[in-house]
Amino acid sequence: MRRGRGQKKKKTYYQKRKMCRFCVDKNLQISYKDFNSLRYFITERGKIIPRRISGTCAKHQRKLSSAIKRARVISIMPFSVSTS
Amino acid sequence: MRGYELCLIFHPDAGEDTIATILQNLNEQIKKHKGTVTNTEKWGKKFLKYTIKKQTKGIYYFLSYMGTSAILNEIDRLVKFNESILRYSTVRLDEDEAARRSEQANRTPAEEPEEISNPVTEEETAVQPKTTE
Ligand SMILES: [Zn+2]
Repeated sequence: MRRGRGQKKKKTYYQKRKMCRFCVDKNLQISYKDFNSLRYFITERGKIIPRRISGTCAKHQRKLSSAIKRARVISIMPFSVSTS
Repeated sequence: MRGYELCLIFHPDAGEDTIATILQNLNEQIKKHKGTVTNTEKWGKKFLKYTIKKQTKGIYYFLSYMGTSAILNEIDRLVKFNESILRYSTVRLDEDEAARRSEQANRTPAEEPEEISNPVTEEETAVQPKTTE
């Protein structure tokens, strides 16, 4: 395998880091009733995407995960999606 | 007094009369306990994301109200063993949210019929197969 000197790669990685969506756009509401806004924060299998990947800040991730869990209870979101 | 939101999922075959009487009973109980209903939302028939009591569809209603926790027990009593209700859940609204609901109720009563006029969100139907595959 040929790999360039790591430094440049690292730089691009940090630049790519996502900002918290809800901090960037203050009008975005987190609602447990809104499937279409929550769907971006779960995987195809229905798991909640960790914030190290989605870039959501701690405060909003907390609200987000409780919203997703509430949505699961009323069957707006799946607990799990079986792929077979 | 706190703001709560009750979500009711009715059996897909539940008649309009049975739904109406249940909702009316709930309204009366809330009033009896000195609460006020601030908003009622009707979503209509929607696909469930997983089956509840062997049903794949349910009729959604949301009821926001201000009241005390005594109402929760009363709702439990009314709703728990009702066969035409697949599931119910109560969520406490934070203060901003509760204020917003009651504001909505006071300001725009004309907005409600709009929501009722498009009951089945067929978008969900399109999404469903993708997730199950
Ligand atoms: Zn944030």
